[in-house]
Amino acid sequence: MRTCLVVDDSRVIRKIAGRIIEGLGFAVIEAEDGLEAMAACKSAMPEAVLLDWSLPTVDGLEFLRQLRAAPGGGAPVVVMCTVRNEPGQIAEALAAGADEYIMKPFDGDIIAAKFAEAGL
Amino acid sequence: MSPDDLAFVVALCGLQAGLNIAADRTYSTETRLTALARRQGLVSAEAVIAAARHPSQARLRWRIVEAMAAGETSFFRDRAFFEHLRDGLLPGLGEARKGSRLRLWSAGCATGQEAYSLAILAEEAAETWGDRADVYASDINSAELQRARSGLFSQSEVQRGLPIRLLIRHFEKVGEDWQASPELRARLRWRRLNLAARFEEIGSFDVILCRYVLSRMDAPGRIRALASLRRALAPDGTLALGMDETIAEIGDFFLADAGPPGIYRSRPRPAIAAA
Repeated sequence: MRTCLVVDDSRVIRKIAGRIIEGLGFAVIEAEDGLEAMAACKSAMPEAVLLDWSLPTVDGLEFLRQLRAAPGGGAPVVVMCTVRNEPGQIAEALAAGADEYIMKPFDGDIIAAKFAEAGL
Repeated sequence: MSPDDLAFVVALCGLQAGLNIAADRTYSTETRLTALARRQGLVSAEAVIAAARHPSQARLRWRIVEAMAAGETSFFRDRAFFEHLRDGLLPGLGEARKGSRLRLWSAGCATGQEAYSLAILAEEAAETWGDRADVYASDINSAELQRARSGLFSQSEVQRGLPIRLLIRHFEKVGEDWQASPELRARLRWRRLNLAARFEEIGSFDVILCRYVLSRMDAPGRIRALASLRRALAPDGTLALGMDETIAEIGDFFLADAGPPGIYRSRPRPAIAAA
């Protein structure tokens, strides 16, 4: 089964998003900040990452840059999922290696559509 | 809402727009008419119907038809279809129409997501085969058309079907909404049109999208609409229905094309026998 890493500092968001993504046929693992996310990727690279931007310790964008620079880190499809919704911020995340981008709030349809757009 | 009220709405929509809403449940009718009541300053769906029964209320009766006709839509609905359009149909037509402009029509465009999807394809294709496509869009619902024309979409709407790179390339953020770029808006022509009624000549189109519209109409409405669509389609043009839409009468007017489901060409008209 394909794996999706859900990175968000809100436990509630991780649970809601996780349930939606399980419905799309993924096994879900969770991380609450960029450090945990990086550790998870180093132990087993997931097929997909749903990634919040504002996180304690290492934030989403910094994690994304580290991931893309890491061995095998180009492979996961990364979908940002954040309240940041300015075009400049979106462009910055795409430049850092994000494949798709969800502006919160989201629902199941939006996650399904964005995963499809990202080729998942 | 009483069965009598529902019967009034069903008959009204059938008569005025060839809409088949018998299949819709009371619940969705009530939801749509409650929203209409709010816009009209009336207390309930029932109050709208009671008022609309008065002979002088033709305008309100038309508002009911519009509210019932409003369809679901999203950007690039049926991704495989739009890929076929982008990679197969449009380049082929571009080749066949060397030197002249392509005319695309989104028939039954609702709030405009399909029309803007076509405009985005045209805009993106302009980089490879030149700026040569115009997009026409029509709907029965003047309120939705007006919204569509503004090019404004909520954050929730732009996340349904529109890839993020196309969003930031073709839209600008306006407050909490997103607005189609002036280039996209300049490519579009809007017109209020009832597909089930006779309408003036609107010229010849190379591609007509009439998706998830006919399946919501009754048989006489569908037949009138199909005849009009055939009249408006260029002899070598393409008609696209929804990918999982089946229309009983389609074969009298159009032939299914190879490729994804829902793609049709004009059936050649039989020669008129000499009297």
